[in-house]
Amino acid sequence: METVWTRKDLLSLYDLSADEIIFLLDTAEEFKKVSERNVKKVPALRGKTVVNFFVEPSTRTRVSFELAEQRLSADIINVQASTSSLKKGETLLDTIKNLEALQVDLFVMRHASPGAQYFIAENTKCGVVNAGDGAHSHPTQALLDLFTIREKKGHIDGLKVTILGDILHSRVARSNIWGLLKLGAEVTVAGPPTLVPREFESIGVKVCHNLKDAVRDADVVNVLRIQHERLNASFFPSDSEYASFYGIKPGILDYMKPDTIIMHPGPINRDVEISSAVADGSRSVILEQVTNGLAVRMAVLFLVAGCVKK
Amino acid sequence: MFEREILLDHAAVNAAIARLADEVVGEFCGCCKEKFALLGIHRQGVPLASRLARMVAERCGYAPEVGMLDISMYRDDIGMRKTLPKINVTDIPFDVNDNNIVLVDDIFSSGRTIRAALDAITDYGRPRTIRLAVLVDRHASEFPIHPDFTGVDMSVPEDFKLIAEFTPDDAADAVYQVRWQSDKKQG
Amino acid sequence: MIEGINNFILRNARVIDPFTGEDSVRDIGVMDGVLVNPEGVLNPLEIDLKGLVAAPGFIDIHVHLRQPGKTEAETIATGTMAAAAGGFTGIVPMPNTSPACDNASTIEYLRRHTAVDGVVRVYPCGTLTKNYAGEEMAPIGSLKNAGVMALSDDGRCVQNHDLMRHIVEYAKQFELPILDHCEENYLKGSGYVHEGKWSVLLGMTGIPSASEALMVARDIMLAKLVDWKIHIQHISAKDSVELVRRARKEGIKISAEATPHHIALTDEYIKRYDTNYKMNPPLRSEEDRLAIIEALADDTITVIATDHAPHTQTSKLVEFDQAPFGIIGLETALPVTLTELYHAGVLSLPQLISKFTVGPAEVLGLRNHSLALGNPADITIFDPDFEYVIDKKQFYSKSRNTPFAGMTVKGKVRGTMVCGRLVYDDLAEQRMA
Repeated sequence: METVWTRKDLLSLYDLSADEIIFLLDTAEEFKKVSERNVKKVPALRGKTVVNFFVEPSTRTRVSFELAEQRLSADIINVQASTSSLKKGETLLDTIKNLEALQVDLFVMRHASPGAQYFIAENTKCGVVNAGDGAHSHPTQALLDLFTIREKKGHIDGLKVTILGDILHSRVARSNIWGLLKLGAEVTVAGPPTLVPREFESIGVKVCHNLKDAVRDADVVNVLRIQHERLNASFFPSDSEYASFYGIKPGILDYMKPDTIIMHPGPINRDVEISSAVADGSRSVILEQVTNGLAVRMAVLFLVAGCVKK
Repeated sequence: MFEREILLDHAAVNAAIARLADEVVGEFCGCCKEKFALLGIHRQGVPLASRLARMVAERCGYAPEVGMLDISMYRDDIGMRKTLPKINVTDIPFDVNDNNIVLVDDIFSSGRTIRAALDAITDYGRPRTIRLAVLVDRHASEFPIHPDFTGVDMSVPEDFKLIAEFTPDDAADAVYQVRWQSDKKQG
Repeated sequence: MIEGINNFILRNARVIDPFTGEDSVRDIGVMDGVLVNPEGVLNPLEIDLKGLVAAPGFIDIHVHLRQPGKTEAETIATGTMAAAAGGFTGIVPMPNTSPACDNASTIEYLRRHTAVDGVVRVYPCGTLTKNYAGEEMAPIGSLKNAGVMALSDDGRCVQNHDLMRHIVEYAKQFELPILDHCEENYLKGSGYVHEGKWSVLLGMTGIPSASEALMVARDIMLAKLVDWKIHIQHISAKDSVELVRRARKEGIKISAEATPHHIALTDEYIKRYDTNYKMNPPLRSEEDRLAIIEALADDTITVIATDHAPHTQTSKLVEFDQAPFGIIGLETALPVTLTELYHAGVLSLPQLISKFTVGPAEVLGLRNHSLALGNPADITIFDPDFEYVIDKKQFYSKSRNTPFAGMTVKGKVRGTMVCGRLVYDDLAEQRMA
């Protein structure tokens, strides 16, 4: 049986067909089982070397990728921006070429510049997995969100999904939008007008600035983190005003359907975009997202590695 | 497409499975009456295992549990093949530990699939014994691995691939041979 | 280049001279660097220009030569040769060199090196403020004495409106036009692409059109207040174009230039993350592009200028947001605009030629630039119908940062004559026995 997967890189869900996304999710189902076994490891990537190249700090995503790599039996190199030669004036491309000369096979890369991974993927024979490029794309996060939605709801087609918060600066939002649209969901982006550009309407996404309207019909509410590190200008007056207008609190749940699930890519600013009661409550699938992230990343690494030809 | 030449028709396949069943029953249901389970290897080992389980039950009244195993994550050729294998469902509904496991596959060729399957199954636990049942042994093993139970022995030229097909109603079961494309080798 | 031959008869040329309105097939005589009656030319080299257009020499009032300071990207020698190959007989190099052209001695340096290495005419330009920092007025009088023909802080925009007002007032007495890069810094922020659908979808930081339009409005107010010439550089936004159109109707001394890339390309191209689509002002929306084309047609925009901005491959082969702004344009300007404007039916040939000749000459206050007898023999010769694929390997520029490589264009420069010297010569087949 042949697969639909032929890519050595995973850069953005924008590039993928619905079939490819579904194939990834199906593959992840089997990898999820691996982590449920006593022996949580398979030799699929034995002998392959993966470089986790993070030119932007990350804990959660990096740990998830690293564990996924370990469970696939890959060898791992971790490169952080602070310790890399980028600080010494070497260009990104030179750094990548030097690592490539060490016969590595895959780069898992995070970078603050949108499109940096596209630039690298074009210039290396190694596989490139995008672990976040600025505000552009974070495909494995979107895949784990899709995986979790499908697991909870049984399907994605026809669902109403609301993404709430700082859409402007969010790669999670952009990746989710492409994935959800391709799989036939209806997407609403919501939050204050300063953080929710109306240009999203041009690709068939609803834009909404009223919290109650945004969650009323939703099957899924994906709450984004207020990224203080990216908000270098004045987008809203204060965290408390944000919480009062856009925070998901127990009272807001009354406006939702009883089976609406609440997601959050983490890390959570408790009681800013989401209250502790909701984050830890019965509708929250936040920790399941984390579990599924591992399975999705194992699947992505497995498929991408299988297409690297050197 | 390449010409498919039928080597075993429905009746011959049925006879081969019956032979397999006899051998398995002889091993496990004879004097010692040990419990055992069948584990079909994707893809054609899975329907074969169900078929075999049925025939075993008909013979000795013991219905072995049946599982399915995908060995894609255990292959030794990632990145060397033209296309990726699709990962199929692994479902082992019985306890592997201290069990007698009979791996079931359709065609026994190089032995590499079984090598991977041995790695896979031991990651699920520590069986007491592992045996191998195959419908066809083409005697081309590249590893020191050989079937314990064989439906049919068959010598086929190297440039031919054997394909087993099982249909849900058993009616059109068959084993074919197909000539390889020149740039491919059987895995 | 043909040394020593200064006398020509250019036969059967389609002479298009928007200064005089001429569009006729005739012979052109060139003797001792001056346009003369063809019958009086002594010892001429005769060239048959049948099927080719001869126009007054093109002027690009927006070029970066990178000398002094960044000669790894371009030099006076390579930049002026690229200009010649692009059909330009004169260029205005922007003063944001290192050191900047904010003092008489740097202008003197420029003039000395152009005299030696320059292939075409170089009209010096000084800064508006010291080190184009937007804080203190540059020594505009000394710059004038050193020979500058215009003033610009290109690359940056003076944010202090009061300072800008005084600069315009002060420049007026020296009859120096202001060439302004319009950009409001707060709205620009850390933006590097057009703020619109594509910046939002790609997660890139956008520069809203309002950042440009706001400063265009400011400049219009100051041009009116002071009654002096302000020329808007590389206009890119529909809103800016509309402001200029209204101001010109009111008789305010405002002019504007458009670049070939803002005429031919839109922000959709940034989705390739190719840094050869990164420039400032950024490629904007299709609506903006169409507004620029409309403004070229109704003469709201009177100048086409390239903003030729050479960068080395090393500096451009980086992450998109970290790459420098700018692309080269001298050698692609005529073919791209012939394709996008003339062959597309937007402008007639005389109208298009006017954007490269009459428009820039008016901004700079140049006289004697027509093909009238007695004027210097600055002539651009091109084939408006020759179709080919742009090959950046053929460029004379030291840099290769162009988005137009591989584009099929219609129109090719065949010869560039500066003061009677054929400084770019692709006319070998046209030589007459």
